[in-house]
Amino acid sequence: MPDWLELELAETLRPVRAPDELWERISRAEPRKTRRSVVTAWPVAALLTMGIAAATLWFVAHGQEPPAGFSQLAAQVLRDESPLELRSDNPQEIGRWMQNQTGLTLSVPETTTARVLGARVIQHGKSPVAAVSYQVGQDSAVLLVARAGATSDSGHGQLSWTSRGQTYAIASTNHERPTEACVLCHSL
Amino acid sequence: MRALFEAYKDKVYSIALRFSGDPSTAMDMAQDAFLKLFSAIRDFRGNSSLDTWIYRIVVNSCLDHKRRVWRLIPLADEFVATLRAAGDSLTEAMKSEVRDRIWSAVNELAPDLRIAIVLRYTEGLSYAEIAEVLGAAEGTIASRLSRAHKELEKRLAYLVGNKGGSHA
Repeated sequence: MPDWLELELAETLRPVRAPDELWERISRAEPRKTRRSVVTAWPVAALLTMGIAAATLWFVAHGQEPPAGFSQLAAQVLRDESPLELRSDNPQEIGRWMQNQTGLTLSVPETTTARVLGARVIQHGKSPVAAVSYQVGQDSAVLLVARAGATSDSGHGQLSWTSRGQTYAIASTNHERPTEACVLCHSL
Repeated sequence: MRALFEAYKDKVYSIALRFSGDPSTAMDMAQDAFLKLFSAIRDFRGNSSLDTWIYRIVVNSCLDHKRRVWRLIPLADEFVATLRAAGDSLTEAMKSEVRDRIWSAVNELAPDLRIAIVLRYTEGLSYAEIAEVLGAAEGTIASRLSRAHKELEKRLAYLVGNKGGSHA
């Protein structure tokens, strides 16, 4: 790169002082709520109905008792606005990163109606838990993955399950139909 | 919270402004970043430095923010003012014009290239630090910056003649 461009970039993009009114705006502001479009309600509702059916079938077929505590953790992680440690819409890249960071394995299908945003690692007791963030329509969702046994195993629900030594839980900002998050892995 | 705000307000706003190119959008982004920061600070575990963690929040706010239409610079009246200016004020006006063109070229970069450029030149982060903030390999960052530099050089090559070699 030529020197002139280096110098011009440093000059043009130099740091600036924040306006004084920024603090005032922040102290007045309330956390923004996600607006849900009426237009998208129909397809989302259809996807959710099928999602519930698929999740139910999956649990019946696998006969696993999903842990309720892990579902609650997923709901907490969804509300937590900590930044993603990896931003990527590539499921394979997220899978590799998760393997390196936690030793956990996850295979998300390439073809899906959900849009993957990235991942981060959270600590649950002494065990690492991988959190994959994604979007389904206007809604945000999260998939948690941990080693089986690292989470509480009481209760039974549609939003968490155990398979091949790993425990999974999903949560969605669509509180009326949280199972829409199932579309991450279930192409419906 | 106020102390945290005072410590990081200029960093947060600068990144938002240089990424968006628009003061109003930058205020929205900075506000969004601080609200996220305040709600998540209790969960900061120290796995990375506080700076890195805050940079990630700002970067996410920038990338998540809907892109707005870039203001066309110079506007007609500003251009006329440039022509009418004389002496030092003309020189200043021309410098400002060059900066606007560069800003505009930066804004046309893809978001992943633009954020790398902003972290590099606004915050002066090293390739390794940018890689940590963006959760990418250092080689990936080097590649992004190289692509960004090439695109900027190509788009701004016409300025070299107009600049009269002042930075040569």
